[in-house]
Amino acid sequence: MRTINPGGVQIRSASVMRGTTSVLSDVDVHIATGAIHALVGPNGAGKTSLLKAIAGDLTCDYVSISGQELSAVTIKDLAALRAVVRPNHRPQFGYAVRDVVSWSARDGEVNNILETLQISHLANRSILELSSGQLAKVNLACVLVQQSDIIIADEPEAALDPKARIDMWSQLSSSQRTVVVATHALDLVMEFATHVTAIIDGHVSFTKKIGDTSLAELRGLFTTAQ
Amino acid sequence: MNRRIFAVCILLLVALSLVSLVVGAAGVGISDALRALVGAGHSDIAHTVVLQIRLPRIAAGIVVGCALGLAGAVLQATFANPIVDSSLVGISTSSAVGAAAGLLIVPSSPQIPMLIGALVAGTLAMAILTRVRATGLTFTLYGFALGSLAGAVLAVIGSISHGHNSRSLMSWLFGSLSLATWSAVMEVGVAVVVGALILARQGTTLDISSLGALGARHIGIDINAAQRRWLFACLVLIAPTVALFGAIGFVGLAAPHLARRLGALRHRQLLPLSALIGANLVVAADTLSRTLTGTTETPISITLALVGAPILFIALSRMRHEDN
Repeated sequence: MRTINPGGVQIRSASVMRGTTSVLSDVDVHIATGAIHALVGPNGAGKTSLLKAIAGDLTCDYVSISGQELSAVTIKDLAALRAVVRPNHRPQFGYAVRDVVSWSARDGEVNNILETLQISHLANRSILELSSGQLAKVNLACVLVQQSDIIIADEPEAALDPKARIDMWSQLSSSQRTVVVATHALDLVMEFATHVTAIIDGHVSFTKKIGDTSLAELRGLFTTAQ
Repeated sequence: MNRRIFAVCILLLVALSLVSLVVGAAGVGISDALRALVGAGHSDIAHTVVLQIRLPRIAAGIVVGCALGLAGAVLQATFANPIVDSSLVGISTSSAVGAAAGLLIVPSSPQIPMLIGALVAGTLAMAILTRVRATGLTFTLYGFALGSLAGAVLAVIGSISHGHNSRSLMSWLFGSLSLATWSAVMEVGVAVVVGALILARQGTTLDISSLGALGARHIGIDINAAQRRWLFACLVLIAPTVALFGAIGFVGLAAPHLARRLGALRHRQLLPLSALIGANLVVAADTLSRTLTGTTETPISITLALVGAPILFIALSRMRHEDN
């Protein structure tokens, strides 16, 4: 079996402690190149911690993206490996949309991305004046222009209306990147994701291709967790 | 950004400075002041009042306002928090504690010990603040707690230091330009220049940081290194200002918000405009503090609030409020 320089994301025996409590223990996940990989599970199960480990925001035993171990990568080079979707919080200061998107651009074309997401008309608007749906698209534009190998998103559909939730997921799934998403939107997982990992109490319950699971099984994660 | 805003602010500063030059307790009028300025009448009292007292105070107001306005804008971006300035989060008050300690230890020649004390205590305050794992209002509360503690320590130092220093110590605690000398103006002026040089070409990184440190890191910016650089610049700006003129509040908070209200959103414009507005606020407030009661000086913290608070209030009330 070849394990040298595998693509996608490798997480091996990852453990994360918060104070004296274990948030993640001995987690192994492989995320294939090009996958739309959903992380599902009850609140507090460890989804966000796992995303932070993949993003390089907290150190844990072994995480690699495109074959590069994160602990050996500089902050600048990390930006080529992974982009992280900003949460849909209200920003504090009002910069123009085009400026904000261009700050994330490594070599992506800002105008093309704005056009693809159909937000060209917002380019000169202040980010304070946007609706939640528009802001979410700007946040998405930022990760797309970053041109990284993988995209990491923590509940990207939060605070969005039903149509905007679907837009967000369909744009993520058509981004031609490897995408890792923590989410509670099980219906969207079934529609757009290619793989799903269930996390309960800091452990991986299962990782399956989407065709091998069902909405009922995913819902079951939440009833048994009580 | 409109260049006219900068031009108007500069003209306003010139006008305020001229007003400040000709009003005051000594009864030196416009013609006397102008005569003194061009060098006529070397022996008369107008010459002394204008060149040795009023002019250094105006210059001090300008450099102090620049330092505080600049530091306020940088701190807000560094901590991605609009409710931050050096006095609100305790950096100024902590520096004042250090400076007061310097004064108590070497009362005979306190200048250098006060500056060193302000630098050390200011560094300590920043080290504490950067280790606070909180953002937004919670961060501001931490800073408020730090500032309250420093204020209490300062009050204790003030009350136990009876003797020849205590009077000047007490007037300095609340911030005052009354001790302005040309050497003090030079010292803060150098601090402003050095601070501005450290901050040169940092505009876009400050823009990005103001939207959140984690987001900045995610797009490849070594945000910890950037923050150290910016906080060092703030220390260079704040410590000499506090050591010489006390912990003057409000300017660092108000100036950046007024500058944003005038359209300077990106830090390339925000930093210079915040400095300029800070200078306007301090010169106006100091003029008022010299003249308000006629006999005694009103503390500049009071006149700053008198001048600045209504302006800030109007600016905020005319802003779009996204929460509604």
